[in-house]
Amino acid sequence: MKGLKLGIVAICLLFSNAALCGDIDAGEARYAQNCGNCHGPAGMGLASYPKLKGKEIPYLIDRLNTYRAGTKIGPNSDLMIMMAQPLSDVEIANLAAYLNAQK
Amino acid sequence: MIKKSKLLSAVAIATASFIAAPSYADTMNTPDISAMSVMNGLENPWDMAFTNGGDMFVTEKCKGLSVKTSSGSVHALAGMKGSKGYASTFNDLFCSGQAGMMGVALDPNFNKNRRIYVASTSDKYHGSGCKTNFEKCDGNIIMRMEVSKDMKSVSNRVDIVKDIQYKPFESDHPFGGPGAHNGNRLRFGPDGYLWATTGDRHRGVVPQSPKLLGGNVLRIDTDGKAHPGNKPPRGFDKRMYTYGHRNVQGIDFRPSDGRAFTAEHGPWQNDEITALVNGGNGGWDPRPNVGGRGDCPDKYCGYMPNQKEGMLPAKRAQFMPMSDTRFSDLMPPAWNNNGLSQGTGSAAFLKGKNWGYWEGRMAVGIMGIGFGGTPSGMRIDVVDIAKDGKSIKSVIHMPTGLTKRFRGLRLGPDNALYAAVDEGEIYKITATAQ
Repeated sequence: MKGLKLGIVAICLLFSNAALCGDIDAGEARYAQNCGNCHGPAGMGLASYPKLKGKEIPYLIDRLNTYRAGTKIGPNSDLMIMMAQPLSDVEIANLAAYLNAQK
Repeated sequence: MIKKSKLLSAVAIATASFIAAPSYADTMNTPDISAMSVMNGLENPWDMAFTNGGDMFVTEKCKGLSVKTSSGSVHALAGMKGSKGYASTFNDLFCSGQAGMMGVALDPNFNKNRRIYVASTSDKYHGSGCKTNFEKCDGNIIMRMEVSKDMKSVSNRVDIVKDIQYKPFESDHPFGGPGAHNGNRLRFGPDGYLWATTGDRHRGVVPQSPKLLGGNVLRIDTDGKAHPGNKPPRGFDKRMYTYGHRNVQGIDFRPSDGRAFTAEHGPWQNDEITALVNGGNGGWDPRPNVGGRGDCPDKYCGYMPNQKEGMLPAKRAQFMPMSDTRFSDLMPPAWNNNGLSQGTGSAAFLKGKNWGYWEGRMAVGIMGIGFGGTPSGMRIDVVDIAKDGKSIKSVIHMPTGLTKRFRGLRLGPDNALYAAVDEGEIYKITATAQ
C-alpha cells in the first residue's frame, strides 16, 4: 500500500498533473484544519505568511517533505516543521493538488 | 383600609407587569450584531482612520495609504516603493515580513489643518546603523502629511519620529524574518497628543533600554516632541510614556476616564491587556543572562525555553514572563488571555447607546495563531475591564459570524466598529441595542 502511495507521488512529480497527484477535495479539507489560519483562504497568503495558491505541485511537495524531515528553510521553519510532521504522504499530495488548483 | 379602586389598580398593575415582564435576555440589553464587508480586494489592510464625515483612510502594509470617501470613491494617496497608481510615491518606504505601512491617525483638528499621521518602515535614517541585528537600527518612522481638500493627494511630508527600532536581518527565532515586532499603532488620546506603540524588534536589550525606541508606548506632540508630562525613569528618552513591552499593536482610551489601555501580543503565552501607568514598565525583558536565564539564540530569549516544540504555555511563562515581577515599576496586566498567545493585536472601546450592555467595554481583535496544540482563536472579544484597570470582570466573544485574522479595529463616527482583516477586507460591524 505504501509503495502504491509513493508511486502516485512519483507520477505526480513526473507529470505535474493535479488529477494524478492527489485528491483536491481531501486537500481542501486538510488545509482547512490548520493551514488556512496562517496562509489564508485558498492559500492566498496573509501577513508574513507566503502565498501558496497556484504553486507547482513538485515545489509544494518538496517543501512539505523538507519541513516534515525537520529541515529549516526560511524564517517560519520552526512553525512549519511542527505543522508538517504529522502529515502523511497522501495528505501532502492532497494538499499540493488543492493548492495548485487555486488560481 | 385600602380603597377598592386602589386595590383594583394595584392588581391591574401587578397583572400587567406579569404579562409584560421582559425576558432575562431582554433586560441584559445585549445588542444585536451584524457584519458587512465595506471594502475588499485589499492587500494586508492594517489600520483605518475616520473623518467626522465618514471618510475612511486605510493603510495597506506593502502598498500605501488610500482613502475611501463618504461618497464611496477611493483615492490612492501615498504609495510605498514599487507601488503603482498612487498620487505620491515615497521610495524610502518599504515592507518586509511584519513591517511596512501600518498605523494611521488623523489630527484632532483635521478639518482645519488636514494633517494625517502614518507609521511606516523606512530606510531613510539607517545611517551607519542596521549593519547587523545587534546594533541600533532606525527603521520605523512616523510621518505627518497634509491631505488635499479634494481627498486626492497628500503633501508636505514631515518625519516627526525617525528613530524607532527595526529588525534588518533574519535571526534564529520563530517568525524570525526581518521586520519583526514593530508595534506602529497610532492613536490620538483625549489629551490631544499622539500615542504611538513600538515593538522589541527581536533584540533582547531593546525593551528595557533607556534610549532605544522599541517596546514602548510613546506620547508625543504633532511635531514628535515629548509630552511634558511623560514620566519615564531618570535617563530614559522623554518620549516614552511606558517601556518594557514586547509588541504593542492595540491601544485605545477608556471613555469613562480617558485612561490608556493596550492590547499586546504574547510570545507563545499570555497575550495581555494592560492599563498604562505614566512611566510604567510592561515587564518584558528578553535579554540573555538575566532573570535566571542563560544564553539564548541570537541574544533574544523571547521564545525560550523551547523554540521549536509545543509545551504548556504556563511553563513558558514561568521561564520567560510577559510581565516579570522582578520589576518594581511593573504594570500588571488586567487580562492574559487565559495564558494563551493568539495574536491579540488591536483594540477599540465601544461607544454609543447602540452597543447596549457593552457600551464602554473594550473590543479586542485577535488574529489567531496556534502552536503545539493551542487553539488559534480568530475572533473579536468584548472585555469588561474593572474600574481600577487591574482585572477584568468578564470577556465574551462578539458574535460577528466571521472567522478572520482581525488585524485592526477602529470605531467609526457612526459608532460602528470597523475591522481590517488580513484576508483583504474591511468589515463594518454594527450593533443595535435591544
